[in-house]
Amino acid sequence: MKLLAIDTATEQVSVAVGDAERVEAALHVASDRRHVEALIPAIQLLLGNLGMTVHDLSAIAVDIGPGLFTGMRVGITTARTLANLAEIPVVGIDSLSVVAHGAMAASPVDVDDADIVVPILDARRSQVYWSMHRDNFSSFSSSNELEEVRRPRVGDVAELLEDVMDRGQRALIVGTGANRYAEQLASCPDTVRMGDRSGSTVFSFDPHVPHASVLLRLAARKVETGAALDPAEPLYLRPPDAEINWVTR
Amino acid sequence: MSRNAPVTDATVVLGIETSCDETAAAIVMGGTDVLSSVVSSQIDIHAKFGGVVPEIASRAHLELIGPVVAEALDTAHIHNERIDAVAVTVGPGLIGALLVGVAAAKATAFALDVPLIGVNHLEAHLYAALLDDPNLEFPAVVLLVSGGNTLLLSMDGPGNYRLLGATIDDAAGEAFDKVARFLDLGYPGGPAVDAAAQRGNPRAVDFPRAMMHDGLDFSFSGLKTAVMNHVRKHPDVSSDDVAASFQTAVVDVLVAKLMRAARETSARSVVLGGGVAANSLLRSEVERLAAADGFRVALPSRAMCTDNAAMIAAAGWYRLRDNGPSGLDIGAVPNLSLVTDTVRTNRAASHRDRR
Amino acid sequence: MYLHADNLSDTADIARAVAGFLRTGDVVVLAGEMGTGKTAFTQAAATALGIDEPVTSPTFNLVHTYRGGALTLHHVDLYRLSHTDEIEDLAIDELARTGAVFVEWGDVGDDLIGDHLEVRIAVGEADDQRDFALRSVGRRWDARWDKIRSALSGFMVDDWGDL
Repeated sequence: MKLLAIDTATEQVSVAVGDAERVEAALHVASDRRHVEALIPAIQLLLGNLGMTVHDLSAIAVDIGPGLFTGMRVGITTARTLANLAEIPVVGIDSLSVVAHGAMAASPVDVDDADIVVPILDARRSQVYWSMHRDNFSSFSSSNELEEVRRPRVGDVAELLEDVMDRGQRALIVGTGANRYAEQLASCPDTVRMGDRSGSTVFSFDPHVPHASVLLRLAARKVETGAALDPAEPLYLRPPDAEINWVTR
Repeated sequence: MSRNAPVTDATVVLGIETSCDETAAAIVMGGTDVLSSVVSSQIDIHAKFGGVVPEIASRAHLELIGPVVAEALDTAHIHNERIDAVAVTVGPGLIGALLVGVAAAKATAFALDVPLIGVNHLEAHLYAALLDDPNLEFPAVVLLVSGGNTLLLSMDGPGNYRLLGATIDDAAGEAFDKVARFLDLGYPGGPAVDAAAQRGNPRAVDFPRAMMHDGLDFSFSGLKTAVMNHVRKHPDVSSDDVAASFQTAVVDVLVAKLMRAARETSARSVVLGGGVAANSLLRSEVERLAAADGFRVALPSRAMCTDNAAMIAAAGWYRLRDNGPSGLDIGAVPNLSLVTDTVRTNRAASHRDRR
Repeated sequence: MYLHADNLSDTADIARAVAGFLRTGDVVVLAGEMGTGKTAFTQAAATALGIDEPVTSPTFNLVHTYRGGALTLHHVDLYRLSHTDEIEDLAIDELARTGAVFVEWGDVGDDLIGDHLEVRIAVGEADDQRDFALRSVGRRWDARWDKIRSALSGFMVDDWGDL
């Protein structure tokens, strides 16, 4: 019951193999935009070290975005192709959920102090992708998973600010967008950025980008509990309809 | 097949092509035997924008690549296990579009544990004629004309070619597209100009034939500008006449250089390739003049002129036989050029051009 | 700054003069209708940078990169794009890290492209004549501006001040 997890929805490339309990091998390449070059060699390295082939896998998990379109497409194409050839399912998980759960893995204390976790990824052009998750640790949920209370969306930083303030809860913000727009977001009452409070904490990984090891556990739990699997459809959020205003062409 | 297995007439190559707006997959055996060739065109999607929209093309490739490969296998009546190697276009083309094909090809080669071959799209066009006419006589002179390129090559056999000339500014197909848009003739520009030209007078306007008697390179930028200038000065001119006169000017230059190259290299055949090779005037002029000069003519079918994956698989078969496989770390190279860069392609160039 | 080129050689001289001031990180936006000579302008600048490869139209592939000159030249064309996302995807700022970037039809992406020099070209009275409007967007070109003006003074028609 081993999964391969692929995360290329940001500038980075991240791959992991394991199950819900244990990450057996993981590789994260932080150098930007080498998705198509690095991905298959990385998978080859991990599987090879574990003495496995794709035919030993029971599912493939992939980050479906929102994020960098070209990167998402490399990851999704690779996941779909491998899954098809190995005749196993492919599980799509959105990038914001991965970041939110990454925050929980990196610093449960920070998450416990907050009512909601707001993962924010930079969408450029002064826009961000974000969603909201509630910590359900006290409820009857089977694991300490976060519950999504706001679907992923895209908008200006001002819209995000409004959304967080409307919620009126203590928010933990995390992600590349939380870093890029830290100053503006600081004006939000009751909002703490990941790492600011636990400033001295050294995280074992950068909690502001999605990691395949986090994606792996999320997907594995879904597969194991027999939950309905999300198809690996890209989550662009932005339709390609912000048309250029051509006058002269 | 194992990585060191010999490449034979029974070697089956899966070809994948996503460099522009066609998602294509094909199964070719032994470099020449096309078992299937599937092309899913996005022309309808792009028509309303008057040109290929890169982001839309990339999104469509992602959705189409799986079904298109499956259909290619289905049509060829083979299973995955029968694939001996995977060939894929690594450039030139649109980066986002290329990446989808390269990712699919790499995953397939890795999962099936078969060799991967990165193919130069331009080089592949040279094999298209060979697929149509396996008895093509060498040496041949090939005129490759498309939206992105205008090249003249001498070919002594598969994999054995040299560049004779190329455009120094705009590709012929680009001139067709831009003139079509300027005259508001519709999309795609090549067929639109072709159709309008049928109705117009090719002698109505005497457009310049740049570098007609000067070497084997081409220049179409001045012609494009001349068309714009003429229409701006004569707003009432008939679009059909302008289209016909423009097309005649382009074809005059292309054919003159093709024939001169054929004579200078003592070629036995002249060959057309690329999307513009579907142009009716170009085809009829090449046939007429080649016959007069005693050259054999190879005019690939329209399906072989335009982008397809059979030619990628064929080129891949020859590359695998002659140069061996590429590494699994290859990337896409949007401005890959012919001849100088082909060695780099095959050697698993890991330095993807910065975007 | 407004310039007039009486013929193709004047246009090439203007391009060469601009090329003389280029540094890594610079973005030059070329604006003007089809057939005004945006590619020709880039070709002349490339020659001045010592690039001996033919500089061909990047319309089809969107980006062409030329190494081997005094600076790496990235030649970009937005003509085929329809959506602003696609300008983002070209990552012009990333290209600029490794050389100078010339962007044909770049004016449509004005707000997505950082500091740049805009070269707007229009056809003059006669077919080979061209009128130019040069404008710097952002502060990046400020320190060089006076030198650029004096280098181009021979072509200046009227100085209405900078836009």
